[in-house]
Amino acid sequence: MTNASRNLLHVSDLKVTFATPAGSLTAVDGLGLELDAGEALGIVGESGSGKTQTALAIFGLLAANGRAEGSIRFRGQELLGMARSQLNAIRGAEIGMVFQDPLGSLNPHLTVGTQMAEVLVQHRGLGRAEALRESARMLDAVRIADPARRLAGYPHELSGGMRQRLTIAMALLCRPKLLLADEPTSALDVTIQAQILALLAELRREFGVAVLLIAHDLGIVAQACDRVLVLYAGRPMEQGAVERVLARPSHPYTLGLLRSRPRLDLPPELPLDAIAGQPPDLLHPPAGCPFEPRCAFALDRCRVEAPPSTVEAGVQRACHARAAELR
Amino acid sequence: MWSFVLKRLLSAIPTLFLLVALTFFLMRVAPGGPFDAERALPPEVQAQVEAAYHLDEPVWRQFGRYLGGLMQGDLGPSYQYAGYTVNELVAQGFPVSLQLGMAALLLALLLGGGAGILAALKYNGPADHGIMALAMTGLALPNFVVAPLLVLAFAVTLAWLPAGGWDGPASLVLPVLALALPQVAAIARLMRGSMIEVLGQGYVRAARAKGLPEYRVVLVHALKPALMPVLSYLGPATAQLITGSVVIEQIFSIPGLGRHFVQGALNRDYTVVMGVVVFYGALIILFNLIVDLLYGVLDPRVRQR
Amino acid sequence: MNAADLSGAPARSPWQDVRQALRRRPAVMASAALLLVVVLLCLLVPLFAPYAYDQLDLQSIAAPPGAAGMHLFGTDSVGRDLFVRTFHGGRMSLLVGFAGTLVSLAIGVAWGAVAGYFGGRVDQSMMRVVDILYALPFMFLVILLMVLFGRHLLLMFLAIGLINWLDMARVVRGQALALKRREFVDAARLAGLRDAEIIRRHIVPNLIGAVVVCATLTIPQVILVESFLSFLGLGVQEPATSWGALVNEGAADMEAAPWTLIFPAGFLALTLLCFNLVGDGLRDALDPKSR
Repeated sequence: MTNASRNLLHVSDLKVTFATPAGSLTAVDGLGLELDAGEALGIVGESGSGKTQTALAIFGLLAANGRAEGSIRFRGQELLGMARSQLNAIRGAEIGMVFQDPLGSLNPHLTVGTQMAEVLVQHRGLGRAEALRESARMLDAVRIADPARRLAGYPHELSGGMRQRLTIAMALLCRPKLLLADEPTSALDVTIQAQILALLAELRREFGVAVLLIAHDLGIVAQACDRVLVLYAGRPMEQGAVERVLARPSHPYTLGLLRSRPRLDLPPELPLDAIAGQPPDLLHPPAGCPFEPRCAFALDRCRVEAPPSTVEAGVQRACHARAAELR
Repeated sequence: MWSFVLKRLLSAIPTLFLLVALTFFLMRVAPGGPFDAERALPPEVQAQVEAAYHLDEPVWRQFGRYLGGLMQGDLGPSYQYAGYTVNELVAQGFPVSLQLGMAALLLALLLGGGAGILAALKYNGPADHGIMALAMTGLALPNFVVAPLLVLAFAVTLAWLPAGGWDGPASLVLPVLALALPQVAAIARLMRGSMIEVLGQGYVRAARAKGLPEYRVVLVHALKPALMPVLSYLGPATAQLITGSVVIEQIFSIPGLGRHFVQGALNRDYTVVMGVVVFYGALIILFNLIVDLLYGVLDPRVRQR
Repeated sequence: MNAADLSGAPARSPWQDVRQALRRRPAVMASAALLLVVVLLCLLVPLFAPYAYDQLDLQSIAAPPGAAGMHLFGTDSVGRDLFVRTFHGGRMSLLVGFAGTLVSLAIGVAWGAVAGYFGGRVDQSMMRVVDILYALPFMFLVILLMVLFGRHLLLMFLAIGLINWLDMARVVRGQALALKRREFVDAARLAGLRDAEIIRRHIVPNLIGAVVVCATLTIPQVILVESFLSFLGLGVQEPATSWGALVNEGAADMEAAPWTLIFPAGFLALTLLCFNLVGDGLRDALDPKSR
């Protein structure tokens, strides 16, 4: 069996482009990732780095002017170019998705029960009554009290944290193998964030579901994931085990991300520096490394030649500078 | 809920009062009365007639009398159709106008709504552009232009349908079409705009992410929210249909309320004109109230307030 | 959204934006050009045509287009030249359209600017009046007015203007509410300008974009009302004419002389269509948010 079919999710050479009036915009370029059953991978990057577009590409939900190339294999099946009806049998059933804005992703005109039950009716062929009973059990599993009353009510009656629990419950209804969570906590208060992350970790254990967690914050990924993939300007910078990447970043951008967030484990006299400069214009992507203009370790060749992806000590990185030199 | 209904009903009273007062005093201020037209009556007969209709009383007294009658649903006697009360004329004409209007409204909703949804689903495609070009043209064709053109084509040239009258379903086709067409266009534009907006909402994307088939995404998740702006357009649409029915009934010789109105206006039949204005005014206000209530029933977020 | 929207202080003048936005929409430009042609025809044809609008040509009664000499659109049932009558009627329709719009503009801008500028209770009660008036079946009142007071042109302008100012008032009020929170209004107030002065010098000029859009869309509505009245025989009186009156005559004669219906109806529809397209185009250009 090849590597690609053993993985639950295998993305290789993914490229996402958008046709805009100003020209073709490259949102994601050369992205590869692997995810095994039950594993949790975090994708980290600034806004506009292509995290969300990656998730949408996996789900076949790119905007009408968007186009995905490369390969996205889920349990050995190629998702790119798959017929809509086949794709519909997978999304919602084998892959669940949790969106960033819980209120926006819930239909204000339909009851919670209808929105949950329709998933089970669609994918499992359950009757409505049975589907509602199963939905109530799932609400219970995400610690929403009084499920029967919630099912009869509408999304706007719930608090922000509860709404996100609800969308997580909805995504898990069919016991998917993979849960895609696109910044599930960034619309929430800090205390609620922690609760949701704890819930995700717990559900992961309980349901044995693999998680692809998209975040702009390394801290969230550190809490919830086994491995991390750092994206910059649509290109993968570094990928590896969370402890390893966070403790000893081997890419200047990861280093910059780490330094730009306040940490309690570093001496306070170390300056907290945001990375200077702006991400590149995605309409005219640079020939070399996209991070080069902002990079403190940039070499001459970085400007002309995009660094290839190499694996060193279990960490995949795309950088011309030697890992040992980054300090 | 009930306090909301009550509040809306109460707020309709000043509007209705204003309407009645405006109509009443306009008619009294105007030169010429219903009985001093072409055929000069002998003075004593004139006085007698005016006394019979209380036209010899001071104006404010007549207004009070009219309001009093109105409270009891009495629109007064017709000055021209001797022996008829306005209530009888309304009872005669309104069912006809109602059928015409309802058929047109239904047609506008189905055809306009359907075309709008189709255009939104084919956003920026040839179907979308075609439908929108048609709708734009439809908006520019007032129903008194459409009506004679339809008659010219289908009644005169092709002789498929009757050019007027009010007997049988065949006689309904052309007037309903002519009355509905501008509304079809307006609703199609409205529906398309709101559908495009809703299809871009997060919850529609989430519904697709759940693996629901497209028909369910559109009909269950998107349709209801997209219908809300169309719903609030129903108030103005009704007003326009009623106005349109005046010319349509005239063109097709349909014995409806609008025809009574035009005849009454031309004959200075005060009470008939007032009766129709007040009746239709009340109807429009009532319809707006119903639409508001429907809005509450359909939008769970409003309902709870 | 472009940078100009974000900063609130446009880098380019709004008119440059408009011109650019319009250039990208050929349908709008074409409509504007067509409108210009129609207006010119209405102005010039009655001046230079060999027939007067009320001149009877008894040799050619109800002649089809081109059949009898110089009658380009044919003649009507009493032998009047339809080509001249169509554009003579167009003059009337356009005149009423512009004049009626002017009336609704004056009332609507004043009402809306005052309500929006003062806000609070003044705004509430003024807008309440607008709400109440909105619910009235105005068309019926106008018909009534025309019947009762005779068919004076001036009265018609006034009556039609009275129908259409409500939308204008709402638009202007919304804009004024937003405008008065802007810095230059505070600055003017600090400089000791009186309210009337501020409304006149600062609020109204900044409303122009919204008002132009609203006015462009009001003109076809007014033309529509006028045609409606004339169609019922309550508007312009013989021998003067307008598109609505011509459509009415044409509808009566259409079995024998369909051209008497088709030409005026066509020009009426074309004009309404062009005004609507230009209005929509202007709105898109001046107010990107409403797209």
